[in-house]
Amino acid sequence: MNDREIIAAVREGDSDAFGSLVERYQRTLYYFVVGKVADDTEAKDIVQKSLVVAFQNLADFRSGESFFAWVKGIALNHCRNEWRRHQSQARLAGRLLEEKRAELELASFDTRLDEGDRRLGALRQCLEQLSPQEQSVVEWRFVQELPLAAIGEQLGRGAEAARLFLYRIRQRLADCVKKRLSLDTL
Amino acid sequence: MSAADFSHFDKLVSGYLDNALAERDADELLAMLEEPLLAARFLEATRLNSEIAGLLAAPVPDAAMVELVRADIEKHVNAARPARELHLEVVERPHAVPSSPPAIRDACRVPDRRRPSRRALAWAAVFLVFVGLAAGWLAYRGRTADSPSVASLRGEVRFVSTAGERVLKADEAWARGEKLKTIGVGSAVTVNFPDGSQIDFGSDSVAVNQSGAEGPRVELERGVVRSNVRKQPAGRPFVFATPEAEAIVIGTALEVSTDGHHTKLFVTEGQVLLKRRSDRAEIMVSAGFHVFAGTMNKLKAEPNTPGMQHH
Repeated sequence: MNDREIIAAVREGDSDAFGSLVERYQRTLYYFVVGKVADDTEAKDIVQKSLVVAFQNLADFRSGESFFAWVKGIALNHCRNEWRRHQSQARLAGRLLEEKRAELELASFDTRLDEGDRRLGALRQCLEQLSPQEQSVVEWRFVQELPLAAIGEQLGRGAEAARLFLYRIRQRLADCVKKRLSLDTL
Repeated sequence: MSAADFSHFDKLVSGYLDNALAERDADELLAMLEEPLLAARFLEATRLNSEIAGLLAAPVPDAAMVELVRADIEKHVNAARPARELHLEVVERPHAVPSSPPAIRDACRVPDRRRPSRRALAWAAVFLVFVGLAAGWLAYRGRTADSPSVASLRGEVRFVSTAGERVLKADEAWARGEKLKTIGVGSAVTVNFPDGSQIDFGSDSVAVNQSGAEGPRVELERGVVRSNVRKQPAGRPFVFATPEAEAIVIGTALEVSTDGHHTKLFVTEGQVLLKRRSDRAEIMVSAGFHVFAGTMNKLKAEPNTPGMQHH
């Protein structure tokens, strides 16, 4: 069944049919949201909330439009709301850097170029190009969320060395992604 | 701006992302962010950081997301429904409605029940008291027989069961099937099992007691648990289960934590068998080692190093 047929079935009362749309788009929506919020748990929550809102407002969806584009719009609104929440929480707690970050994020939402899948595809390739040791450090930091001191221990050095190591990895990845994206546009 | 200035800025941003900025550096970074070029560079770096974390995170399986969305939709539908369904109407029994047309009179009619006698009411009351006492006794017996009990607690800790949710007090028994929740930063609870095994739950943990004839079993849905388990009888190991894995303990000291997608197990004494649910991969983890179980990674025991465990 295509999206239009599924949506018609849901509108006629077959709410289970909506599950097919969730299966079809949840992962792509997650990769759309990742990077627009602070962490992956928030991104997963936003995917869930956006799909629920889409179901609840399916009557407003205009046939002929792309369902995914419509859900992306809902998700983007949730991302904005999430940054607004961050901003007010940071303000209350006196965390100035966090407040500034939220302010910058909110200001950039409408102007930011959405490179979507291309950007994440480039990042995936750049991560694969890291050395085995760099890949281990990335896993310790981003998957296992080990503190710098523990990463330093694993490397046989201190926390400061781990911090420098991560700085270099981030630089390499940023350069690599930029290069790949500009090559793609040639 | 020189290359050295950019490099200094990038180092500050990297420190911010690793939560390792001194106060003075944080102030410096904040001041630099007034410069639009640097603000854009900062956003680019924070975005890349979130993307790395997002790309490496275990994805929510399609079927699980369908279930989550379905549950939310049902919750929404149920929340909208009660207002109509639970609305109570007081209908007075019509004394005489000679002027009403028959159709309306029928609609207003309530069943013509005879008023119950006082004797029947008295028997019903006795019966209800008896049932209440029996239920209370059974519940008390179920709680205390082999149930672990709360030794100490800090912050907000709650029990959730089919009967509802309540704030936990010291010395309370943790009955089978009850969910224990520590809520907020700094919350913690220590639970003692009848054999002397002790479990500490850290903040924002959710766990269910599923102990039974097969032995003690704690299902950790989220959070961190540190335990000191007494030597268990053969065939009745102490089991810590997370959504991804099971840690089967014969008698040992360990720490298990989960965020719902990944499980970390640190063993400080004895040995623990870790079994991953998704592919049934197993690994025996000895004292001084830890293992990280994601969705796909190869299970590998690595030496513990200071600072790795939760505190």
